[in-house]
Amino acid sequence: MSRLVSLLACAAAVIYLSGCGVQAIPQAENEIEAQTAEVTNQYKRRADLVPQLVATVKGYASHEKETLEGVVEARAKATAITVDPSKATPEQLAAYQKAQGSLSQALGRLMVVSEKYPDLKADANFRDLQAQIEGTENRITVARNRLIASIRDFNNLVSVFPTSLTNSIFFHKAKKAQWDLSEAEKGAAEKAPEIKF
Amino acid sequence: MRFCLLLAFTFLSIVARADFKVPPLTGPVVDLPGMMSSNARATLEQYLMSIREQGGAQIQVLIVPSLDGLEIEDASIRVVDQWKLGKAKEDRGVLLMIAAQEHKVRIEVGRGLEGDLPDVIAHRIIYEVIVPEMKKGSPDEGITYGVQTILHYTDPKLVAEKPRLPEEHQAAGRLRISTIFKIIFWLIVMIFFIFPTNRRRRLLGGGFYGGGLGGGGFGGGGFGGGGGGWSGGGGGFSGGGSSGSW
Repeated sequence: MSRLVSLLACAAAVIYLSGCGVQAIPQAENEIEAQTAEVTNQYKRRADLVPQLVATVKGYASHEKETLEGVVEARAKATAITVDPSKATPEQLAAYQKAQGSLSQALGRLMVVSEKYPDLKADANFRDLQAQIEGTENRITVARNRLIASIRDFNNLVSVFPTSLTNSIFFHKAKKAQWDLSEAEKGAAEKAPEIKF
Repeated sequence: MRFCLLLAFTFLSIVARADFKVPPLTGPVVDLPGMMSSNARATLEQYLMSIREQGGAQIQVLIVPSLDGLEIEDASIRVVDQWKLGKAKEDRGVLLMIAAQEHKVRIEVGRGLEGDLPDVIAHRIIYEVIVPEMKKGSPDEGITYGVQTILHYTDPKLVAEKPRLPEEHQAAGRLRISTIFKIIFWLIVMIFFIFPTNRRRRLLGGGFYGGGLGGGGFGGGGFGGGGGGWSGGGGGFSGGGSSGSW
């Protein structure tokens, strides 16, 4: 009889654990890693497109030196920082985001400048590159949104009952910092847009 | 000031997001404002179904009256996240989305087709095939030619051939094992913790083996995807494609 009870208790324990985060918490953490990798992957894709873009713009608008140099410099800084998704510290991630944010801004300025050159805008090569950059920017947005959602799911698992109980017994994992806009992007969002006619 | 802005933005985003709803997936062409003629729509639906039955990509057309303040990229990713066009793992789905009021077009490309239909090609299809027809005021042609050009890249072998007979049907879904485990777990919890001790003894001693778990009936749980209908198959998207306007 007591054997049966202990057997049942064991079975109950196994089932309880499988439903209460023993699997879900590490899985959610792996999901964050995967999503971080996707974000960095898309940022890399963008960085790979930049030299071609700069070269094309240079052909038509060589005297926009400042803007072009700004992009080249921002790209160099952005590619200098790499993060390992499984071992990245919050500081590393913040530095990475900051660098990518300034590249976004530099690219934005380049796109504004390019509006002034009808020949450039008509160039097939430039249009293709523009389509690729736009597509990549959209992929970055999607990947970031998914990363934010996966961090939220993980944080829910480690901080909301009953999985929080499992976490405090087995894993002792802390909540993860949410992926945030970089300081530069925040500044850009708060400043009222300048409109020139 | 910052707080006010934040409040305003939060409020605005709630208002903007609450309105756009992903419509139900009723067929290969979901035309809410009735932009296409019924003839052209029926022909296109037939065509897209036959392509999919031959194992081609799942191409979906969605025409919405308005985006309700959303960017078309935000709206389209929401649509494909819900519709999951294309089979899981293969991810061969494409959404051609058109917003009537905003005059916006987007081709959203499934993960498995990003190589066959890169952003540049999607961009060209929009601006060289779809937009000129839309500007002329002939959406039937714009959408049909657009879809044909998409298929030219995604399934070049199928486009020239005539549709074959339907071959495959969706397999029935799996029984959800995890739900069964959860039910058993709660039964055990009930027996050990919720029932008073002496009643538990009686239950374990007497009727437990006889009638305890017998009559539960876990059969027939969770079947996915009705046969014959048009539905997504779990395809993933990661934001590839291109947008444009006319």
